[in-house]
Amino acid sequence: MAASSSSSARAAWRDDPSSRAAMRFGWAAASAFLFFGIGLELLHFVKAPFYVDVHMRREMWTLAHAHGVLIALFTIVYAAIAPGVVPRATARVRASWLLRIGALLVPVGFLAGGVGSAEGDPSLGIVLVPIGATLVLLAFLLVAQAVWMEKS
Amino acid sequence: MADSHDDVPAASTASADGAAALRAPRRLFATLVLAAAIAVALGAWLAPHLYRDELNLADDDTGAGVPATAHARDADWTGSPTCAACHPDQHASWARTFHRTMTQEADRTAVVGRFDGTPVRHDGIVATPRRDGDRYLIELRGSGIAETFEVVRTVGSRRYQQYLAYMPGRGENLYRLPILWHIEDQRWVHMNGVFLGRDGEGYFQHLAVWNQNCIFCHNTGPVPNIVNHAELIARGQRGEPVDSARDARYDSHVAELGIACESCHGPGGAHAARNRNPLRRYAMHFTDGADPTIVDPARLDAQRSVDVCGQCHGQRIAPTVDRLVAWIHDGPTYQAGARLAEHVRPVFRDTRAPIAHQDDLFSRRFWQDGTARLTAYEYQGILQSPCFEAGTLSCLSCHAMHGAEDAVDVRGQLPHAMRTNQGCVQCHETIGADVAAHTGHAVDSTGSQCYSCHMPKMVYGIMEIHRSHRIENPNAAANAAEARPHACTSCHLDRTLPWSAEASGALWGDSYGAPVAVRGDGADPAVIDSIASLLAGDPVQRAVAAHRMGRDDSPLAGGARAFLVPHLIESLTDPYPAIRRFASRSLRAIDADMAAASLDLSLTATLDDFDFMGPEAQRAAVIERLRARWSAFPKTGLPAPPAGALLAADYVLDAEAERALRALGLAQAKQIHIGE
Repeated sequence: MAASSSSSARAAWRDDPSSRAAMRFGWAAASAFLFFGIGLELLHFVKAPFYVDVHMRREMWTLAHAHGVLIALFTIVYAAIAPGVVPRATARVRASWLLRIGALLVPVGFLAGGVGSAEGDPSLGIVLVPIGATLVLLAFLLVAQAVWMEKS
Repeated sequence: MADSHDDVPAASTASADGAAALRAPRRLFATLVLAAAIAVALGAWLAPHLYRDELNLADDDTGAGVPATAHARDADWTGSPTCAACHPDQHASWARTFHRTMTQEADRTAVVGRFDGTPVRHDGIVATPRRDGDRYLIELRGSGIAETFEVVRTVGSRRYQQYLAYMPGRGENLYRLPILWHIEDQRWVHMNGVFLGRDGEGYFQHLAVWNQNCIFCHNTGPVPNIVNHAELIARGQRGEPVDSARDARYDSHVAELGIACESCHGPGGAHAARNRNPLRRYAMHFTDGADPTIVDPARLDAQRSVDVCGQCHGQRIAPTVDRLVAWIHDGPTYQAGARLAEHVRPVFRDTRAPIAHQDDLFSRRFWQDGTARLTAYEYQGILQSPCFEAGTLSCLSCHAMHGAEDAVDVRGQLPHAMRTNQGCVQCHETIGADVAAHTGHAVDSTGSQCYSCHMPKMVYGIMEIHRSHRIENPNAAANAAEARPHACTSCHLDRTLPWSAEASGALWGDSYGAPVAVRGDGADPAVIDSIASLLAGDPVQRAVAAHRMGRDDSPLAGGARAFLVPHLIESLTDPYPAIRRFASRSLRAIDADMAAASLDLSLTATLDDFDFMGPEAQRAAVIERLRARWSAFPKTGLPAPPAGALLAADYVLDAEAERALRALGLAQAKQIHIGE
C-alpha cells in the first residue's frame, strides 16, 4: 500500500513538466551550492587570504552557500508536493518559474555581492538578492493561495 | 475566474496549458529583470550627481577630510564599535595591535603582571603586588609609607605594563605607580631602571600624573579637564609654591581608552551618521574621491600623513602658554588630517626648554648632529630624512596599521616584506637591482640590509634600543666628532672608527673616507669604537654600545667576541641600571655564542644571580664571581684580541686605560630626562 502511494506521488511530479523542472533544478542547485560550500571549507582550510581576510566576502559567500542550499531544498519540496497542493497548472508553472529563478538569483546575488565589494558594503550584485527573494516570496504566496483556495 | 482546465488534475492538464502558462512567467521575469537593471543603472549614474553637494569631493583629493580646528572636548567622537559595523576587517586588524591595548581598564583580560604577593624591594621601600578577588592591589611599605593602591587602569601591553591608581586626597587624578611589569623579562621593575637615570633617584622620581601626561598620547579624544586652574594661578600670584603634579586636580575623560580608530582618522561621529544613508555610501563607492567626513591617512600628502603619526610619535610642546592652558582644559586641538605644525611645536635639538637651569633638557635627547636618540621622536627623524625632504616618504611607505594577521607584524606595525630591503628598493630600484655592489657585503648578510646602515639601532626607549628613523648615510669622521653611534662599527664590533673611514672611502668614495681626527667623547680613536663608546660615552652611548655587543646577527662568531667580555663585566658596575641590564644581556648572548663553539665560559648561571636593580652589595658580589670566572677561563682557544681592545695578548685588561675611559663617561653626569 505504502509502495503504491509512493509510486503515485512520484508519478504526480513526473507527469507535471513544471514540477519535474523544479525537481531537476532543485537537486542540481542543492548539489551545486553544497559543492560551493565544500569550496568555502577548502578556502578556510588553506586560509586563502582573498577569502578569510575579507570579512564582507566571507559573509556574502557564506550567505550564498546557505541560501543556495536552503532555497534549493524548498524547490525540491515544492516539486514533490506541488501536483498535490496546487491544482491549477498555471499557478504551478508560475510558482515553479518564480521559485527556480529566485533560487538562482538569491545566492548568485550574495556571491556577486562578495566579489569586488567596497569597504563596508557588498558590491552592486547584491541587488539580485531582494529581486530573487521577492520572486521566492511570490512563489510561496502562490502556493499559499492555492492551498487556501483548495476545496475540501 | 479560472480557466476551465485550471481545475483539472495536474497529470492530465500538463500539456494542454503548457505553452501559454510558460510564456507568462518568462514575460514577468524579463520585465522584472529589465526594471531592476534600469533602476540600478539609473541609480549608479544619478547618485554621484544627486549627492554632489553631500559628497563635496575635493578636486585634488589631497585635502579631503581636513578638519576644522576644535578641541578634543568639542569633537564628535563615535568610538571604535561604531566603526566596526562598516569596517570589520580594519577593526579586526586594529584590535590585534598594541595601539588598542595601550590603555585599558584593569581587569583579568588586561592585566599581565604577576600580582602574586611577591615583594619588590627598591630603595628601602617594599612594593607588594597582590590580588583581592578581581581587584589588583599594590601595597607600598617602608620609609614612612604605608599605602595600598588599587590599580584601576593599565598602560602598555607589549614590552611592559604600567599601572594607574587614585591616591588618597588627590581627587580624580590618576597616578602611575612606581613599579611596572616587564613582559619580556617576566619581572617587576622599578621605574628608575626603566628610564635612563642613575642609581639614587628618589623612589617616587617617576611618579607621573596620568591626567596631564599619558592621557594625551595613550588614548583617543583626551580631555584632561583641569578643575582648579584658576585657584593654582591665584596661589602662584600670591607667591605660594605650586607643583602641578601635586596640586592640580583633574576630572578627565577620553573618547576611548587606548589609541583607537579616531586617533588616526579623526572624529567619526559625522562620518558614521551621514553614511547610514546607503545611497551616499554607494555613491561614494562609485567615485575615487575621499570622503570628506573622515580622514584616510593613506590619501593625505606626505606631510599631513606623517603628521598623523607625529601627533604622538614626535615629542612636541605647546607653541604658546595659552595653548597649553587650553590643552589641559579641553584637550589638544590637532586632529588627523590637519597640519601638525599649526597646532604644536615639535621638539628638536635646538628647542629650548622653558625650565629654569634646564633649558638644554631637550638637547640631551638628541645626538649632537640633531638625530633623536630617544623613542617617540620618530616624526623628527622622518622630517630630517632626505627621502622625506626630497621625496614622498611617509610612515605608510613602510608601516601598515591594517592588514591580514599573517601579513602585518603588529610588533612595529610592519608588513613582513618591509622588514627586508623592500622598504627602500621600492624607490631605490637601481640599488635594489644589485645590492651587493652597493654595500660591498654579501647580498644575504646583515651588511646588505638597508636598515643596518641607514637606520642603525641607536635610540633608547622603553628598555630597548631601537632603529633611528632619520634615514642617513653613515660617515665615520662625522659620527666620531659628534660622539654618536656609527653604523659600520655597530656590526664590526672589533673595529675602530679610522678603520671604518678607510673602508668606507674605498667603497663609496672620498666623502665617506675623511680621516677620523678626534672622537667627541674624548676617547682615543685608536680604541675599538664599541669599547670606547661603552666606556667613555654618555649614558645613551653606553646603553647603545652595551646593547649592540650582544646582537644576535654579529659576524663575530664563536670566541671572536670574547674580547668584549671583560669590558661588559666592568659595565655591570655602571651607575645606570638600564646600561647594566644591556651589559648583562650581552654577556649572556656572547656566553651562548661561545658555548656553541665549545668554549665553556659558563657565565650564564652566575648572571642569573645578577639583578640589575638589586642592592649594590649584592651586585658587587656577583660581579666578583664573574671576574673570577673570566680570569680562570683558559684563553688558549680564543683568537688573539684585536688591536684597540685595551687587552694584552693574554686577554689581561689594561685596567688603567679602562679606568681613564670610564672616567670620561661617568663625568657626563647630566640626566637624560625622557619625557614619557
